[in-house]
Amino acid sequence: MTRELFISHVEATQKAFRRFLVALCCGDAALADDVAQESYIKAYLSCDSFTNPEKFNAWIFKIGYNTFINHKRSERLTVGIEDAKDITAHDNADSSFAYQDLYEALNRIPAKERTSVLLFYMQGYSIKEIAGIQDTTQDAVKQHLSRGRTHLRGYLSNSMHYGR
Amino acid sequence: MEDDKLKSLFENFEPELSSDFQFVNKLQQNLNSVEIIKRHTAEVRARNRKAVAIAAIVGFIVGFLFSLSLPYMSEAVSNWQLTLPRESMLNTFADNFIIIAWLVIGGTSVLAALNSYEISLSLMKRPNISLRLHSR
Repeated sequence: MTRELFISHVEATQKAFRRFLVALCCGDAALADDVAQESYIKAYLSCDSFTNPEKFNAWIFKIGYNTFINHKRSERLTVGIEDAKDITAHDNADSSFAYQDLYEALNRIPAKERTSVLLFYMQGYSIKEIAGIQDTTQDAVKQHLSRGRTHLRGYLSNSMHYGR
Repeated sequence: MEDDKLKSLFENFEPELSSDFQFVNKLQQNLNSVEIIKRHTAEVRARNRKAVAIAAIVGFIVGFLFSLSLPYMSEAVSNWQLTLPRESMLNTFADNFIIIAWLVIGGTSVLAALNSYEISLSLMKRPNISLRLHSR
C-alpha cells in the first residue's frame, strides 16, 4: 500500500474512528487523538502485510481498540466519575457539557462492554465483526452487549439525551 | 424500543473534534518521522548484512589459504620429528600436529572474520572519511 493510498484511507475513516475513540475514552479528546495517531502509525508500519483494503475500517478499529487497551494498562487510567466532569472542559466546554451524562455512564462500564456497545450502536458493526475486532468469541460479545446495554440504560435513565 | 434509544443516542453523538486538516497534517508529520527511522534502520541492516558477507568471505579465504599450506607444514613437521630424540616432549606436539593445526586455522579464520566485520562496519559507517582518504 502506497503512502498516498494509506492517507486516502485515513481521510475516509478518521472522522468515525476519532468519534468512536472519544466515546471510548469517555470524552478525553486529547487521549482519543493520541490513540488515533498511534493507531494510524501502527497501521502504516504494518500496511505492507495488509492485503484487503476493503477491510481497512475494521482493521483500524481493531488496532485502535488494542492501542486503547495498551494505554489503559500502561497508564492505569483511573479517571474517576468526578474527574470525568472536567474532561475537555477547557477548549470545548459546551460540547463536553452536552455529553457529560453519556461520558459518565460510559466511564462506569468496563472497557470491553463499552467497546462492544460503541461498535454495535455507533459504528453499526455486526456481532461477528466485533468479535473479530476484540479478538473474542461471538458469545462473549453478546454478553458484553447485553451487560453494557443494561448498565448504560441504568446510568442514563435520568439523562436528557436518553428520552426521559 | 430501548435499542432504538441507544442507537439514536450514539448516532447523534457528535463530539467536538480537532479539525480534520490538523489531524491529517499531524499524522503526515509523524509518518515523515517514522519513514526517517525506517530508512535509517534499513540502512543499518544493509550495512550489517554487507559486513557479515565480507567477514564470511575473509574468514573463508584465510581458512582456505591456511589449509592449502597444511600438507607442506605437516611434511616439514614430520621431517623435523625425525631429528628429535625419542624421549623428547616435542614428539607429542608433532604427533598431534594435525589437530593443533586445524585448531589454529579455525581460530585464525574466526579472528580474521571478526576483525574484518568490525573494520568493514566502521568503514561503512563513515563514508566521508573513506572518501577523503581516497581523494588524497
